[in-house]
Amino acid sequence: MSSWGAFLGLAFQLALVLLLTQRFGIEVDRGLVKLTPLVFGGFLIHAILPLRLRLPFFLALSIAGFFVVFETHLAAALLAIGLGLIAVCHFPVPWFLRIVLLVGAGATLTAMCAGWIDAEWGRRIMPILGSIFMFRLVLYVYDLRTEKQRASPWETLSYFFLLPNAIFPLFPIIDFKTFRRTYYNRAANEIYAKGVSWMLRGILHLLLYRLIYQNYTPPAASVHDLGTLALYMVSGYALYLRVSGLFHLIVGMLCLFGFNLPETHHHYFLATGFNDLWRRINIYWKDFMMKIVYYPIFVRLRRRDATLAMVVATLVVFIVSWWLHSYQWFWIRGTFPLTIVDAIFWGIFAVAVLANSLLQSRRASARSLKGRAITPRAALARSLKVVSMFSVMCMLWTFWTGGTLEAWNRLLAAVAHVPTLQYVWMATNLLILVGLGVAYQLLVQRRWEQWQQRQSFARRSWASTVLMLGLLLLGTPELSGLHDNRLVVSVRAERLNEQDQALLLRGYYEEVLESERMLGGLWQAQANKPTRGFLLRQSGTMRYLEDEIHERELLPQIDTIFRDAAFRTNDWGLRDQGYSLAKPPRTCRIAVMGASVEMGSGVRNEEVFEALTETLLNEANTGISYDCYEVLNFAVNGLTNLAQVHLIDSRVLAFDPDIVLFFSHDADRRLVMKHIERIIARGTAIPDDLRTLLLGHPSPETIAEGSPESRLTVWRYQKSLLRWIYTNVVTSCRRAQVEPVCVYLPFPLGVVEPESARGPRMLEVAAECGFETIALQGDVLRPEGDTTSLVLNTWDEHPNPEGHRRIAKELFRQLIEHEHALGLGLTYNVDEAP
Amino acid sequence: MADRQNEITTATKAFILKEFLPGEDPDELLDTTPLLSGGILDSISTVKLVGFLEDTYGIEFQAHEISEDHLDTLQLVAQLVQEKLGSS
Repeated sequence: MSSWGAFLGLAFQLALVLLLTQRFGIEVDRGLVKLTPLVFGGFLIHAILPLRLRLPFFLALSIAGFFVVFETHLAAALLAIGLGLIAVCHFPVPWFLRIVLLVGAGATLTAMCAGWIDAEWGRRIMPILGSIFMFRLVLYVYDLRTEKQRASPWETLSYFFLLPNAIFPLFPIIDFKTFRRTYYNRAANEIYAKGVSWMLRGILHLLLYRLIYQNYTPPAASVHDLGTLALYMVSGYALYLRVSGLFHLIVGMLCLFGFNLPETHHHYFLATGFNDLWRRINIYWKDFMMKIVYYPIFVRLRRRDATLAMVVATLVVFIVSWWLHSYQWFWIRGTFPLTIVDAIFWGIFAVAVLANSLLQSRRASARSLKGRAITPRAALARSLKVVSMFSVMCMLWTFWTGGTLEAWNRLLAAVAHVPTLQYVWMATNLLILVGLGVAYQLLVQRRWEQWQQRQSFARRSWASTVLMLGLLLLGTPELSGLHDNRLVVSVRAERLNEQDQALLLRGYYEEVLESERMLGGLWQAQANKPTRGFLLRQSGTMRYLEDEIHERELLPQIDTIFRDAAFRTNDWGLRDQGYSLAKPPRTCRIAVMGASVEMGSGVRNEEVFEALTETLLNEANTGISYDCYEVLNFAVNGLTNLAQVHLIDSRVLAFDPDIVLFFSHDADRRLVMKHIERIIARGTAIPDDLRTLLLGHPSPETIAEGSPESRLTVWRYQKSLLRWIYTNVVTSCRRAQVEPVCVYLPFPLGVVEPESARGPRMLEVAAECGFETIALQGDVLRPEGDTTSLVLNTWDEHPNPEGHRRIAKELFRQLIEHEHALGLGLTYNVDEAP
Repeated sequence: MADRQNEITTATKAFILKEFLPGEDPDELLDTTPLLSGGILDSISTVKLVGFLEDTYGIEFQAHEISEDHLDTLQLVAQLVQEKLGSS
């Protein structure tokens, strides 16, 4: 095939890859869609330009990318600060002074990033600015000092302002020397083909990540035997696919512009030991640490004692790695988490790598130039090592990402008493894996490698094209007809899984996410969270009441920003306008009970559906029964149904409501169970009948012990518990002559509910307990086209203003429909409802 | 000059074959075979090679010289050692 023919083929493949990123919404929040025309158009133009013009063109393209993604003033600020930092590296002053100046500039940016200098624009560009300079500046200065051949301004500027960096804050640490050395060091089409292939590989990693994250990542609380523990650990480690996927996508994109960079990851799940893993996983990080930390220490100490040099250099590398992970997090998120779990993780890793290194330094490590035939013994040894290393990493990773020692202890406690047979079963499974590994090496591996070598460029291209077309078909339900297939739907768009949605709904960040480091969806949520007022606790808006069942309440007279939206509370600590405690005459009062959705997380006060419903009711008022309708919002972020029971008695009834709207979501039962675990662990008093219901006997201490039996007991009773909650709400309301209404609201909006949906079943229980019931599931709550059109964004699926508007409309319509039970006095034709 | 470089190449090749490629055909290891980028030398093997060169030729490596730019082939290794011997 001619070189132009091959290029056109690659351009077609790139178009398919970019189409795939659009179809599957890859990094849609980050703005990859916006960058797509630049990548494709830029690739075509760049490739036909003379070589001397390509680097300036790439730089111009990258800068255009920053302006496309950011608002003009932010992109300009980012470029100006970046140019300033680069200029400092070239000041005609001694090196020491340049370093001092850079540290000074870094300190100023640190203050901005940490919020000590109040600059909104600074905070908005800091993740990307940090991502560009936090490591690359170190490498640049290092190479500037040691390299004989000066880099051209185009090389320097292109190195810092890399096109994909406009959208990806988590970026591989690209070495400046490698960046320069590999630029068009092979035939152009070969590099482009590698780029397209790696981008495709990145997409496959990301889709696999979604598949695992959405379908095979169980909650820690569900671990009760070795099987569930294994699934929990393996899926947790597998979530790292997200990082390798992104890095492949980034480096693949750079290959399209002639930067023939090496792999960032290489079959890391198949590592045979800690050293091997260190060489395979995030290879650029390893190279950075070797260059900046290991070799300088080793060279200095080797003369004294080579072994000592190796020990010290290795230990320092891991201490610095630990610190730099927090440093990296600081620039991306503005906090600097250093936890004991991090220290233990890096400590174990350091000791294991050191032991491996010492062993390796004492004995010859055999490698092969041509690839030897694999003997059964070698295959068995390798397979055993891979399975063992993978198992150890699953455990270590689970420990690390769990965030706390308590979380790890809870997991171990959950499997402390499993029967011996389960261990036999687990060992058998591992042996089967080893056997499969041996069989693969002996029967498939060599043939597969030889087959791959025999394939021509054209044939490999065809195979990739067919794969991409297949994926496109999968991502296009209109063509594939796979509208409702659970697995296919789960990979089609980026969203939180059920477990993380529940955590988001409960206000998980307020309680648990102290470690601020995760690799699952919540990690992304954290990395993408709004710049202003993410945590109610941190914004001083919430009061925590450890001795009370309801645990939390909003403070009165707050005027702040929460998740980028204006947030105000009235004199009573309600997110609402001002109301008197005593109900005015001829006024109908409706109390809304709920959590973050009802409180209006991420939208302004006046956009919350509760406020909109009040407006609709008053606009439709005919004055027959009431002069006015007041809808009071008692919802608080993270308030569970159990907390609401308590709140109705202690707070809501004092406002003399006529109707209580008790909102329910799918995750309620699970959140209530977690709530109970918390209050029992804290020793908060719970009603006797509830305690009896939970345990079958009156001693709550057995739950606090956290034994698997008590945990199971709690979970078994969750349905009865829901009934207990509903009955108590109804009893309290009826006693005060208030009409209790249970309102089911799906979370997130727009999700097609399976037939087995819990919502309707929850409402059945509510009705049996005496609630009037309303299900907000009308078509009005189904988004047209894009499933994210009614939610804040892909990672925070709380309703956006349009979502709230639709909820209000549907709630209003349903309230009118239930006139017979509620007696609102609205004679309104529901078909005419706005 | 060329003899000296050949001598360094031969000694380095012998060391690599003995330490990292036992049993391999010496003819397969060419002066241009990529050592670091080809995966024959990893970080531990690289520092072992550096140790060997420092001890054998009485030279000292700078940290930045332990890189693909200087050690990726026998040819590059010999050039670097030769330079160091020439400047010492």
